[in-house]
This record gives sequence, C-alpha cells and structure tokens, in this order.
Amino acid sequence: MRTLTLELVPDVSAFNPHQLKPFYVLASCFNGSEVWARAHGVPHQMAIRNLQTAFVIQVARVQYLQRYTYEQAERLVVSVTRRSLKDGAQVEARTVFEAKPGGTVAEASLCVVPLTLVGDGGELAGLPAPMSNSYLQYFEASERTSESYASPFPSALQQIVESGELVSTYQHPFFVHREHCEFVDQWYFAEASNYAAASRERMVFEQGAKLPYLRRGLSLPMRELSLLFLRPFYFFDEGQVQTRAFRSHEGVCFVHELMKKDVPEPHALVIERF
Amino acid sequence: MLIRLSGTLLRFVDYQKEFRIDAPTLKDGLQQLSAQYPEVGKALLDKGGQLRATHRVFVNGVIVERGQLDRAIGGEDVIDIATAITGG
Repeated sequence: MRTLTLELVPDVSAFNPHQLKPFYVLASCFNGSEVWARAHGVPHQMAIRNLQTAFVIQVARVQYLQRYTYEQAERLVVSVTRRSLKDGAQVEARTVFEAKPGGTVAEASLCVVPLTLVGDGGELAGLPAPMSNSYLQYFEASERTSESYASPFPSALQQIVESGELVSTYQHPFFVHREHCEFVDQWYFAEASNYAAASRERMVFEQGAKLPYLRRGLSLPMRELSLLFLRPFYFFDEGQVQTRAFRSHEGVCFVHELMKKDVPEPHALVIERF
Repeated sequence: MLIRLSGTLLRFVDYQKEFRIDAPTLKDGLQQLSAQYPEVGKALLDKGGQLRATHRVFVNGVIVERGQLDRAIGGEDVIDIATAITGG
C-alpha cells in the first residue's frame, strides 16, 4: 500500500487549548486524500470531467492519541493512505498525525462513497455507484479489498444511549452560509464538527452552573469524534443541532443530531467523547 | 402552488428559494418554472419531460414518484425540490 507523507507547520489557528481542532484534523485528512489522489490516483477534477465520478463523505472519525498543544508544535508529519473498499463501493482515506518531535498524536479516517454523475446542467448531481474499472485501475492490488469500512455507526450510538445516563439535552440553531460550503454550495463535511461544538459549548454556557458535569466537555481534551453523514445540507439551509449529553464510565459523551428545518430525520450524527 | 428550491439548484434561479406558481398539475408547475428559468428546467427534467433520477420532489413533505408528475396540485400545496446527492 502506498503511503504519501505531507509536512505541516500548524499555527495557532490549528489548536484549541487542549489539542488540534477537530476541523483542522478532518480538513487535513481530506486534503491528504486529495494529494494522494493527485500523486497516485485520479485528481478530483479529472474524475469529474473525464470519468463522471465524484465522491461524498459517509463517515469520518478522529482519535486523539496523546496530548499535543500549540506550545509543543514544531512540525507535523501526516501520513496518508487511500484504499478502495467493498469492491469499489467505498474509498477509505486514513491519516496519521505524527508530531516532530514527539509521537503519533492523532489518527483520522474518512469513508467516501463514489457517485456516478448524471446530467450536464452543472449541478453535479449523482447517484451512488461503485467506481468504474477506469478509476479502479489507479489503485494497486494491495489497495483494493472487499472489506467494508470499519464504521463506528450504529454500534457507538447504541452503546452510549443504552449504557450511558442522559444528563441533559439542548437545541442550537444554525444557518448554512457559503463560507461553510464547498464549490457546489453543498456544505463542507468538516463543518459538522463546528456545528456540533457550537451546540455543546452553548449548552455548557447555559447549563454548566446547574450541571457542572457538563463542563467536562470544555475542560477535558476530546478523545474521539465520529461523524455519520446521511443527507447533505446546502447553502441557505436552516438547521438545528439537537444535543444530548451522556455520562458513561468512560467520561462525558455528546451526541448531536443535525436536523434540517421541517425534515424529521437527521442529516448527520456527531458523537464527541471527552 | 409554492415551489421551494434548495441546494445546487439555487444557482439556476439567481438564489431565490420560493416561487408562487398558478398551475393545475405538478408537471405544469415545473414547466412554468422551467420557462422562466431554462437552466433549472434542464437540471430537473430530461428530454422527455420526466424528472431526473437525481432529484426528489415532495408535495407537502411526501415524496412524489417520478411517474406522478401529472397529479393535480392545489393553490396551497407546497412543493419542495432537492438534489438527491451531489459531489463534494
């Protein structure tokens, strides 16, 4: 399997007081996947233009492995691998963030679903379909497998809801501005981590005096972040984050459902573990 | 009927979200919208005038099957149109 290595110099904006921001990790993972594709596979623009293939994020995951703050930050080496899974029906991008000096501070992965583009109206509408052979040929044999992505969903959610103690709930509105979107005015997936965090922080702000346990969602570093994307949001959409905080033997967990106004099913789920 | 667009379709209608259209059927409503904004018509309908598979139409929150565009629509009905999935 081919590994591509990138070197980053994270500045102050990449960090919160505890660690690399989830958005930075997710965006770096996504960018690493694109750099890998340009080096070893098919650049995204070429996939759209020549192979009528695009991709959407289905699952994203970040695991923080050791403390790493701005004061420690010199260089960050990001190792990226990319594989075809499920016989071409999924792509996995996996990144390891290694501090120099230091060790592995975080890992992130994305499960991406290929789409076959339909129509020529410029709206980039597509339907899920396994990658064509003309795309798959760019993966080496060791990068193609029938395995599925090891998704934390739905088991992680079930485990929290069934074994955790519900501490409190909160609802927080949001609006999808263009700055939250990528080039076709669809939301950029990594923004989901920011919408969820905004709801958690506001929850702590409003309820933390009455429920001090919630403050652990600010005072402790995040251990793990899992995101599941079910439906897209777009520029101009109005949404609401419905947040539940759970106490478990491992610590506090926040489960966020990102809802679109007037739609009963969630568009995305975000689980933050502290 | 009130037609509401979202997502990538907004660029074809100069970023207006809602259109009040007086038409007896869903198909007539979509054709009126397409006459006003040809680019959105190309995105929504194929050459045979059928809804493309990449788009979803909801009448008062209930999805409409692709072959049901001839259904009658009342003046107060709300039509939501969304792109099923887009790249990105």
